[in-house]
Amino acid sequence: MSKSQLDEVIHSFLVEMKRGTMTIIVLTQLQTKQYGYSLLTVLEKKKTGIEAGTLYPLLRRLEKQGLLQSEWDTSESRPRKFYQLSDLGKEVLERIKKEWDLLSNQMDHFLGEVL
Amino acid sequence: MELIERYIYAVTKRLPETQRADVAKELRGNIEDMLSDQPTAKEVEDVLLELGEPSKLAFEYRGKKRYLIGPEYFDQYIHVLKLTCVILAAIGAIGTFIEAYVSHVNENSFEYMFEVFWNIIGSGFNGALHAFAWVTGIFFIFERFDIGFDGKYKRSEWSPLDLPEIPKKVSKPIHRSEIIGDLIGNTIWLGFLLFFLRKDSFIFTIDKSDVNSILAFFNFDHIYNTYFTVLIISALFGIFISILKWMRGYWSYWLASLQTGQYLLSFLILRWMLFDQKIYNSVFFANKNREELHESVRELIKNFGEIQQGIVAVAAIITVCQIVSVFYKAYKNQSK
Repeated sequence: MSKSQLDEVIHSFLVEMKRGTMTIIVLTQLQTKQYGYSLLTVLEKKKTGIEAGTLYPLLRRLEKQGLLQSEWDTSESRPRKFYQLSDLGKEVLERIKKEWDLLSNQMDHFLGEVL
Repeated sequence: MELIERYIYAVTKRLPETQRADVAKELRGNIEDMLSDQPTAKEVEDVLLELGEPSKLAFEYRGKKRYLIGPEYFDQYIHVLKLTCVILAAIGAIGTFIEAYVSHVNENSFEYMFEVFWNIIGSGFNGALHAFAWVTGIFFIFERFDIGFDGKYKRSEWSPLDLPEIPKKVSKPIHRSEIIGDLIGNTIWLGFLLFFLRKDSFIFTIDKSDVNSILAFFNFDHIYNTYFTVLIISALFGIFISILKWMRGYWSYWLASLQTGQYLLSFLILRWMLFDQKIYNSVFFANKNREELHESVRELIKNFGEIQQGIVAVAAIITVCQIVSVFYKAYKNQSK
């Protein structure tokens, strides 16, 4: 297998892995309210590798699912839509944290078998 | 700034109408946040590139993940699918209609008409189904093998400069329901002409005991020989314009002109037929004083000249109103 083929396989694995974790990361960063760009800069600073084109639609989808609530702030010169965890979102995040601990332990165990 | 609006337009036009305004507002805010206060053209381009291709972004907004046809082709897929379905359904229906008409000229029972009616609906549906299968199949191949529409593998990188112009705000859109209504109306009208103006309709029985005294009002052979082709062409022209209206979606001057051509053609055919004395049965007029005829029929014959004039006058007024109406709509759209 050539190097580029190898990279491609690894890349597709990472995409699969990040797809789920990205949503969780976004939820953790919305315990205080944020608008699209402020959240993007926070995520960039923390080197999450989330892109603007993925983040903005994701926020809307999470709102539609009821995990986030939003409000328009029109007091500034340009109107901004602020997002924050809803009660449902907080509950979901709490549960996911527990599930993640389980999964993480499990994964440590499995990966520990790799020599 | 204009490029940003074009980008927002390219994204939101792919979304359900109820979401458009809100997504546009939010996206505009987000893009402006990503730019400095006095952004250069290069900066704008970079930000749009960062957000990525509009069709992909729109796909993210719609949030549908599992697909046969992916985001790159989805919009074209829907577009081509709609168009092909309409065209193949129309071809199927018209084909069946003409076939039934040509092969069974002498059948005229209601059962037969009913059967033909169902056959027409059936083959229209069949045509649409074929369109669906073929278009989906072809796009599926595009998707799997990542073939671009120019036939090259791998489409070229997306650039903000590829963004289409925002079309002028249209105040008088042509609704799809209106076009479908047109198509149905056209078909029913054609059906009426071809099925009902037959040898054994519009017949007045003078004396039930005497077969020879049955009189037909129209001279059917003449209608078939002279007008069949013209009527078919006129109906096909109408369907052709309906397809153009479907693709365009609003009235422009050239579309209004074409439509005017069709209105005038219909009017001329009507006028031509109405005043063609050969389409009426001359025997009928020769018998206008016969007492056996019902009084209303005698009245009709007596005042026939005026009735002809009246019909033409009403048709002329309707035609003028229709023409003024489409040009007014085109003017409204063009002047925006």
